[in-house]
Amino acid sequence: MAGKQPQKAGWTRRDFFNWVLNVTMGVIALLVAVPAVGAAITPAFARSKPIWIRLGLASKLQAASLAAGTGGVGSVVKASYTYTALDHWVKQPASDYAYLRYIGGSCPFYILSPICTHLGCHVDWVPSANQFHCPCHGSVYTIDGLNVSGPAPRPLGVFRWKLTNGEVWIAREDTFTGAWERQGESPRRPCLMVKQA
Amino acid sequence: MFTRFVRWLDERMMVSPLWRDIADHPVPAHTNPSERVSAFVYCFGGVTFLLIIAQFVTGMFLAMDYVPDITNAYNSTRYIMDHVLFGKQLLSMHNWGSTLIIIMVTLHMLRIYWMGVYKKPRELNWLVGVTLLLIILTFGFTGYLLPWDEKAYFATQVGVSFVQYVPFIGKALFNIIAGGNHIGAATLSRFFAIHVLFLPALLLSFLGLHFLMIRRNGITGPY
Repeated sequence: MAGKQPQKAGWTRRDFFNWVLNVTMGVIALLVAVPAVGAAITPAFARSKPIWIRLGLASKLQAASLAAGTGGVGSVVKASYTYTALDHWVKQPASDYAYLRYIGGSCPFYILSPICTHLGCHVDWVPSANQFHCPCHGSVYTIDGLNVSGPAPRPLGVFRWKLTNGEVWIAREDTFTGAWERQGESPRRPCLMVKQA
Repeated sequence: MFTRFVRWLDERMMVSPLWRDIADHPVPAHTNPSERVSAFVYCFGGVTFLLIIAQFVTGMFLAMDYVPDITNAYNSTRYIMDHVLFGKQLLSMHNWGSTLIIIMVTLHMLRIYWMGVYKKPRELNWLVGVTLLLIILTFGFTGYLLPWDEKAYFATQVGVSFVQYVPFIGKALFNIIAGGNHIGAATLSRFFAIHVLFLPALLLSFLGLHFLMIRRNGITGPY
């Protein structure tokens, strides 16, 4: 019967209620979708502060680097450190190491992250070649951490550091390498010593 | 006894026609392995479905003893293996089942491709099938992280790193998948939620579409 009735021009009572129902459902869908999608994509906008970690006495680190090199020129040494890693809601003791080199001047230490910028393996320091070699896919970095061969897309990360009471502290960032990241092959050696206030 | 029970049920729910539509219909002779042994190639999809049901069952029981938290995930996995009755078997069935599904689904796809089943009017079902393949691969990828051992961690680090090479949004995409700037606590809980909640819902929906379209379009052949 309903189909045989001629349709009235304009809005019928049924059209109106359909519209109200659709709009209400749409609003409810939106109310659910906004916080759900928001919670899922939050990490894309998250920013975090670096944590400062004590690496050791500057005099000892300097002596170690000079001992590894020859003729008063410092070479690369492994500087291990431990810290408390905060991963979202998990606090855990953690340890890693940095590649430190005494270079003298106004910014006496050059501290590199050992994390390969390709896929995150720890690179090895090869003194005979004066290079860092990645054991995973063969990336090669110069002593300054510049990527010269292999799949590594960027140079090694450089730690910002500061001197407090004769001790070297490094800033561990929430980045892929754990350090400050250079986007390209910067010809200038970045001095990342943070001046004390 | 059973017949009486079905009659009792039918008086209230009318399940017999439903059952007939879903499972009790004749299939063409050329797809019947008892008529022609080579017809076993038509079973690959069905075997995949059976394996998926087995994954559902083993997965649900594994979730009883598994904790998706980085301090306990590995320990709870070890607990399942060492202290839960048949836990090692349960875990192994889930583990090997996932590998078997990938094998069966590949064979199934090869059969579809070989016989040209993807042609009209079944091209839409081919698209649904490819989506199912992606869902199954994502199942494998997210499930691989859950034991939180070294292999799982670094495999996931390598796998998730790939999305960083997507132009412009690579970094944001990595953070969304990993739940932060690196693989960690948020990654594990995300992967767990995706593995046990999001993907099963998606999988069941697309399987429903897949089977509905098989019934609508019928089986191809004989050739």
